Amino acid sequence: MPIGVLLLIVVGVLIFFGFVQRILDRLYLTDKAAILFIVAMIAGSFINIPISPRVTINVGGGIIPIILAGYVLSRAGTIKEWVRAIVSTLITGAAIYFVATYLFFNAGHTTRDIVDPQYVFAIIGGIIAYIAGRSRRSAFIAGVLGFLIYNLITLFRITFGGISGSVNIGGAGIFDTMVISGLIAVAIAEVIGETRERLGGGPIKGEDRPEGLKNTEYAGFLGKEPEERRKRFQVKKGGKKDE
Amino acid sequence: MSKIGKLFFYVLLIFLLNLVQPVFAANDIGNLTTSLKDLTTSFIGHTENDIVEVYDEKGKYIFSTCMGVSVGDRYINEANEEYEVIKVEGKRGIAKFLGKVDLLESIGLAGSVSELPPLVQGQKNKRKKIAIYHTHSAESYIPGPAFKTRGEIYDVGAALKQQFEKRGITTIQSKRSFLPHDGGAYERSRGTAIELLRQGPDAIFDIHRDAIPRAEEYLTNVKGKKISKVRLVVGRQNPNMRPNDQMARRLKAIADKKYPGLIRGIFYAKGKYNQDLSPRALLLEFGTHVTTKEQAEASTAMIADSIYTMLYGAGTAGTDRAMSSAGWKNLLLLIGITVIAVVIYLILNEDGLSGILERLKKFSGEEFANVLGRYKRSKQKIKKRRKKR
Repeated sequence: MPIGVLLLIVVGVLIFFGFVQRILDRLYLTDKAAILFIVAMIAGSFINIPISPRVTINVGGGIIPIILAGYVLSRAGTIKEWVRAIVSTLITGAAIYFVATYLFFNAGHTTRDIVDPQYVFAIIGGIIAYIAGRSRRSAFIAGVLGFLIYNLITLFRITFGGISGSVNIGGAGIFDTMVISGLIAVAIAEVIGETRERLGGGPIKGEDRPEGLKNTEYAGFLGKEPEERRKRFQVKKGGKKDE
Repeated sequence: MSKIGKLFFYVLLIFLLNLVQPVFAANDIGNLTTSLKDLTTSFIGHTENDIVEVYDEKGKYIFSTCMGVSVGDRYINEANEEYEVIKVEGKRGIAKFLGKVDLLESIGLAGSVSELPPLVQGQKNKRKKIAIYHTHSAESYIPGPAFKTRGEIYDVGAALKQQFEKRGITTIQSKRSFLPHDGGAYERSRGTAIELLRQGPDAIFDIHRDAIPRAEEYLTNVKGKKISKVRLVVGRQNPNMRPNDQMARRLKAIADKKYPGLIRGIFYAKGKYNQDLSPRALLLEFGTHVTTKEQAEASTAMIADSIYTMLYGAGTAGTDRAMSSAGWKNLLLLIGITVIAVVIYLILNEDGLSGILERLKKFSGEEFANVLGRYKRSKQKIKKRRKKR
């Protein structure tokens, strides 16, 4: 393997993992949890579990991302967010199905004038989830589980439509569309959300900060209580505590 | 927006997505009923309806394809004339002529085909290995309606495998089916491509057939045999595009010399076709649906021979500078894109540019400051805080 190509592969993979790590960080996973999930996805991608002759599910690209989506959902604050995440998941699944079946099928190979379907599915998930929940977490959930739903619809079609086909859920491991659409969905929600906030003149810092942002009751999902975190932070900085 | 308003919005969105289809597909817009097809219907893309014909600016016919054509797609025809698509209106594309290409020179390989270094280096004692799979599982050499079973394309794959094995290359052909043939086919075949790549093949090929109703464009006589030509497809939207392109140009250069007329052209299409997974991945189209399976199979010996020469070559061994430089170029591109992405990310997450500078200062300060500097800084901070109070 020529050195240039070898480096290209290595750097490409590193950048991708860096991207994955950043995204998981945006989902408020601790660094440890993020690395644990990434390692599990890589290791698990070597294991395929056959469910029936036509259906297999890959551990790294199927089971782990589903668990991760469930975990992210379980940490969601409110029932409202739960409902939003689930609704946007269902809609994303349906939208991916319609796009894959009606928009792209005649293109034979490719997606006319848009981008590769893989990204289109992710973009759909991101936008729908953002509209539904204004939330990165539900974007991730919709991206991952929405693509899972599309897989299940395909399964339904090959089972009852007399089509000879097979479905390998998450077969490509961490590079599978199911994982990538979750990640890109978060990135999209992030870009749209942050841009809107900037355009809206926010975030306001200092004394004029809106009342709702002053109290830190939602800071709890960072893993540590805010008070405790502040203490640790100060000690770490090496500055004297000025009480 | 109220709850009902939102719900209405979603329903409308899906409905619109559904309506857009005929417009996108550039089929007859009046035929909206197609969008309400039954869930279990299978579709076959790659049919005659999908044909897009590309002409040059003077109206001279250049090529047609059923892959969908986008602005920016490029095409190198049989005579190595390169075109770039500048406009697409429904089923007609306009391309501008970019000039005649010297395939080898364009990828930094001086000299003649016979002196090409093999693509696979230093593998004297290693097993030669190639992987084949079929993303569009239903493709067959019959005109007409959709079908739901594995197509004749698998037989073409098997013939190709046989030709490779004749030459001592271990060949893994995945017989898995990825139907239905829709926009998710490449997503489904992705797992299989990765599985195949794990076995460490020297190259991986996705075998298809075209669907243009012009047999004469694909039929030819090469060395006294009636065969259908082969078209190479490179996905433009993938980080391995340059190495993939290198391989395509090299293959065409070798085939042009050994079997003139075998390769119909190289199409640079929008999309990835899972070629992002390997720097040695290509999509091959063996003939079209109005040529015969036998004609496609007849071409497999020639293409297998050309691929063998490309990978393991008769040329002098040595490092492959061209492939390497293609890798470097893409590497720089990748790093450039990443830097831009990081900057955008920072702009979004910090207070604009000033925030980024602040953050960088902080970073370099924490990383490279001497002890005294850091001590000073923290002292200043405490002073500032006290002032505030």
